[in-house]
Amino acid sequence: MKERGTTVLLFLTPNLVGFLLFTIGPIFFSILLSFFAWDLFSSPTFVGLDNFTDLLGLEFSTGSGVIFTSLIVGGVAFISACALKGKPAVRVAWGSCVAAFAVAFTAVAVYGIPTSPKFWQSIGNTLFLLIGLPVGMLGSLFLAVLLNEKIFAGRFFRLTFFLPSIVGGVGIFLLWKWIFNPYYGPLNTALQVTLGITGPAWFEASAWAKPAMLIMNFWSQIGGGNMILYLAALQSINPSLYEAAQVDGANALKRFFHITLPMVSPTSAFILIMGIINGFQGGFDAAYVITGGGPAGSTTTVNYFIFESAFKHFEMGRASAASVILFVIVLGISWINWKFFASRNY
Amino acid sequence: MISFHQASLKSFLVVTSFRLAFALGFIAPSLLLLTGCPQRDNSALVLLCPSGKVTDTITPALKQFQSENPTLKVRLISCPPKDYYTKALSLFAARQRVDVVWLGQGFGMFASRGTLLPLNKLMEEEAGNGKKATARNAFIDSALSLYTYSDQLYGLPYGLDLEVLAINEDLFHQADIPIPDDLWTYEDFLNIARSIAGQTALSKHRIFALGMSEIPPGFIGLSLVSQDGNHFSFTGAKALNWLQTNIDLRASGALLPTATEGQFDRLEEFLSNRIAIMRIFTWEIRDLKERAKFQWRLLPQPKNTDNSQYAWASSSGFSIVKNSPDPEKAWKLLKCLIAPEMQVRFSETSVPALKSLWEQYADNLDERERAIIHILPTIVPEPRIRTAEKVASEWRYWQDKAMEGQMTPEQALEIASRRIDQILQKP
Amino acid sequence: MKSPYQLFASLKKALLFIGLCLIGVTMIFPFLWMLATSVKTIDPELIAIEGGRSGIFPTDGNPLAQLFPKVWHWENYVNVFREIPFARYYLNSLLVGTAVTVGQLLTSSMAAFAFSRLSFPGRDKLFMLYLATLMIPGVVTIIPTFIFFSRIGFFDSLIALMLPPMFSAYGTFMLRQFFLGIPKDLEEAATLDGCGSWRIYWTIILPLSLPALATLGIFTFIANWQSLFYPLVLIHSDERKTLPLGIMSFVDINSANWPHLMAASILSLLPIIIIFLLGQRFFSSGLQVGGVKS
Repeated sequence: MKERGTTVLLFLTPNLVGFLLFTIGPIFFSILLSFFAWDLFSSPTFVGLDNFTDLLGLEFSTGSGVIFTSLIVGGVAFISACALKGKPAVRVAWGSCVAAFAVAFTAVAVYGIPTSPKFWQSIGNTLFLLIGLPVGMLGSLFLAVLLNEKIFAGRFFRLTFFLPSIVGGVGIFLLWKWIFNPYYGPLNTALQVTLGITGPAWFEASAWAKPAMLIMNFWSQIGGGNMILYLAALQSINPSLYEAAQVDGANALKRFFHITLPMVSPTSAFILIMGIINGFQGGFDAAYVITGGGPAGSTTTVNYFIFESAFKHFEMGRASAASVILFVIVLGISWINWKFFASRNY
Repeated sequence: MISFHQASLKSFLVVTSFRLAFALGFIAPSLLLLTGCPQRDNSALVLLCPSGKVTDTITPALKQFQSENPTLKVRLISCPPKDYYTKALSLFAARQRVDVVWLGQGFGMFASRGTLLPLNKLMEEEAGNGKKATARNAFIDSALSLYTYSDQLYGLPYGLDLEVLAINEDLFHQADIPIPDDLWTYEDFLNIARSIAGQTALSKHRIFALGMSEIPPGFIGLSLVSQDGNHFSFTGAKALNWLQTNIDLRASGALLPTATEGQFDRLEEFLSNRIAIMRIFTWEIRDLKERAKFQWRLLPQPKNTDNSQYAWASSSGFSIVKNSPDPEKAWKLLKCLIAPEMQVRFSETSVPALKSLWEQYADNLDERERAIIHILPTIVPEPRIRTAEKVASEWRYWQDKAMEGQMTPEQALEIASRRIDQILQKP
Repeated sequence: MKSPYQLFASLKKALLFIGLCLIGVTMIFPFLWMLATSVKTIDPELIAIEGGRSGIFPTDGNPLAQLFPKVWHWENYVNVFREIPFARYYLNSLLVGTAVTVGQLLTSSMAAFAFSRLSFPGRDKLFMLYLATLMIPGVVTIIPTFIFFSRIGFFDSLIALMLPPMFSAYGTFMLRQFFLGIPKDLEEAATLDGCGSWRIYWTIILPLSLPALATLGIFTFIANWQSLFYPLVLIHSDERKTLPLGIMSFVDINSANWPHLMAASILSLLPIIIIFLLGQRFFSSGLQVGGVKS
């Protein structure tokens, strides 16, 4: 259909204006802001890349000589590796180069103290919470396989499993805070009464706060959208495949690993990528409601870090720099996703 | 691609009702929005204060103020007490109108950002008029110094908030430990904590010796930041010793296990008989009096070996915001809020800041609360700095590293001191 | 007479059923616990009279057997309304939710129509831009949004909560996918009859995509109902708080009163549960429209 420009404009404008104002504009503003130091009270000052070097930088207190030596050795090895043409020599050179970089890397990891350990910790926490993703996917697949059988009240079960994923928010986080209460929450009480174990302090211990988060997420996500996606994928598998396998004498386990798993792999890949992206985007609400980012920063996700630096410490530039870094990470994952799926699904 | 083949539009009714809902759904909220939200009165003074006890005390006073000054309208905004200061700051950052603001220990964050109106001139004018109630010397000295930032006075207090220790005498009896008196020393304090923690009968019931996640550094005269606010002063053998003591006490189970005290409702724990010695603030004493079902009493901070004694203190009061369009009316409101009768009203939550009210206040204290009287001379005001939040969170991070054994105390102190100096010295 | 194979099959079914029941109970149990806590009390005197089961603190017996109290304290629910302006929060959440949902459906469907049915230069590039922003975390835009609203004077107003989510790239993406799947025969016929784009959009596309719109609407409403981050940054006065924020301020003053907190939580979850039960058939379909095309 060929359209007059005004018609197109009328259809597009409402959304486009809002989109530019509340998505594109802010992104550019954030990028701009990340080069400034601004507390919103005085006027912003240009600081160049300072916010980024402060967030990502390392400093060395002891043993920095080792690092620089190995970096130099590595660099020399690299250059000589590039200069040398002969095959065995190249191998040796590459080997020593890799070794030197490995040494340097370890040295950085051991002696380097990041200038903003809290930012690194928040990235580490976000990554840690992603552990829950594959476990949750397995759980979802398991539930989907169970529900795929023709069974009495199957629809009812599907609804029941789905409920935790849709009913969320502050109320549910409070509920979990209460369940995990180390002193008189039901979980530790039950552990004490039935098994005689004194349960961990969960959200109040830095070692247990993240596992507690994982358990909570597992409960809320296992029967949700992922299960539905798996169910759809399972239903689209041609039953004749299973019949043929059965004729060939493959048992249930074999059928699962050789037919079901490969057939749902595109779905798995999709869920994985979306899960990673969601993992980087989410985690704020739970951290804010349940733990306030603690104890000892152990539940501070990148989102929470940004919120804290912006609206608690009023370092808008630093917060923007962190959000730009987050943005780049998420964009990178999306790009990989795009490359990966371009050939397959789209 | 899933598609819903409902090509035959089922009923005219469904579609029409959908469209109606679509259109109405848009119009109705907008109408409600216009009518449902009352228009803001721009001439009203805006008073910002924490919800809860402060708001409850202020509300009747405000009514009275309004009836006395019918031309002045006051709009009260209350913020939840948790994160009150950062929320209030973000209001200022968002350029919301606020005329008078309640400020306590977070005062430095506001004064250093230049958001408050200096009161020196207004005070002098008042003094010239011969009014006594707001004259400088009417206030307890330390109360005014808590509202001073680089020689300018930015607020007037209605009360002082003090930290005291409360002990649960019942638990002391159970543990068979004699109840200490007001002259106890820091050593006594540590010994009591250790011996309570050592009693398995108590620890089995999750009873903690100390209702704090670490010993307040102020007990031994340490503070994070030097009095001039320029550098980290938590260094040297004393600091190292403090850190080591805390690590030991944590290991023995005397301290609360959690690193974030806020997660743990300390007062509730104390009231339910689970804490022997508890850090308590003047605003919590009323709850204690009303709800405690055991014998308790207050104690001052323990004395150090050199006989020195330090108490944390802060003040509660009001400041005028620099951007207030009507500072004169704001000043009037402020004077009303810190008037002697208000100070008396507030005396349930804080010690009055006017000298003239002090005697009456002391007389009203019962036997268990006498310790408060001893504390007043030992007050050490905390330095007022702009980056208080950041310094505290940075310190907390390294302190936790040391307390969890991921780092030696020396290392943690070394890094923290370097980092915090950097933060403090940033322009 | 059943053959052994049939017997085995029905045994398998029974085991499966029991397994599913167990999982179902685990999923529902936290909700039950929530309900049970919400009708208990923390008043030591009442606990002394009614027995330990009425309190939230563990007693010596089996906690499962003592799940529910002897006397159900329904007054907790009334107290929630008494202690905080809960009705006001409810109303605010409803207002924001409805406005965002309707607004998003309208703007997204219009843009989706343009992207799927109209041709104009740069269309695909613009759509790529929409796609690229799908994954952007909310925190990236929050600081500029905060500054924007505070400078134009809409800070601390419900409008600030309504506007940004109204123009969703996701909604546009999802509806475009759906519109592309609608056969074009009807439109072609309508065009021959002299219908313009507006009439095609209003009389053909929208009615045909009712299920997709309903799905998007439900998801938008629920997401908005639960949203904490935006209100947290943009709202401060009590009379403009939405439910999540209101409950958070309730937590601040009531942190140890679990029965009250749980009662407030249940009240806040009720609408979602109702929407879920009424609109359940849209959930599974909606997920797939935005998801993989297998």
